[in-house]
Amino acid sequence: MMKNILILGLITIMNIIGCSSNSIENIKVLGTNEFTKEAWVNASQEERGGMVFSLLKTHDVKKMKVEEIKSLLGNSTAYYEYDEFPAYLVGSKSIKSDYGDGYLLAFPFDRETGLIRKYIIIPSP
Amino acid sequence: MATSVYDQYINLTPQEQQYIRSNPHHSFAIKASKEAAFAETKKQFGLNGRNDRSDAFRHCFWSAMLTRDLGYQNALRFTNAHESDPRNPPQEKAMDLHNNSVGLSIGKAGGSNTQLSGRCMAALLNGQLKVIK
Repeated sequence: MMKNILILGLITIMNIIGCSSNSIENIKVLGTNEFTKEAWVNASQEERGGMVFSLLKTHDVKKMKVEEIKSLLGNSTAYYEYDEFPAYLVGSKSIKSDYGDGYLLAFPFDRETGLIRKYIIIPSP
Repeated sequence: MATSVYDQYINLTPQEQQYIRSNPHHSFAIKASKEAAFAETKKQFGLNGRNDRSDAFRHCFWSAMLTRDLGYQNALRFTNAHESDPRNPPQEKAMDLHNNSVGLSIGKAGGSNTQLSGRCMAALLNGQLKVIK
């Protein structure tokens, strides 16, 4: 009985760890250009990729509501799981993923509080 | 699309979670249809896009498989539940509900995944599915 509980707990922990957000340091490979709302709005997909590290370094997205993310980054340009999850294609179009040409940057949120649960980048940089 | 079971569950809308709690034996078919729709859309279009032809096809094919596997009423309930978050943009919700309804009708006749995919592709090419862009 105890062994089963331990195994179940381990699986749960592995599931949670396995889906945690990408390490922010890995995102540096996309570029280290300064993020500003104005720069993001006027940037191409490729240029936006270079701002993701700065965006995540300067904004604690887990403390932001989905409406704040949308106000900051604008309308979604990609799809992730649900239309209400903000999602953007960023970076080089030579990067191929299941979601299109470029990296998918997505922000699933807690439906009750509206707070961003984590950021997702696919494929992992 | 490699997400944990935990992630998949908490991403569900409250209405979807309620459906799963009431019909836990449908969980496998729902998960399988989602994964099959995602994979078939990637195969047919090269991506899973937003508001485009790939999006329209994915909703049609997913709904068709759910109708075949769960029956029309259950599939209707679950696909409506998928669109039920009040933050879902209205124009995109309308597109998805329309394409779901075409898929729900297609699924009534049953058939293999290949056949359902082919019928949804035909519906797309015939202009029966809606796209925003």
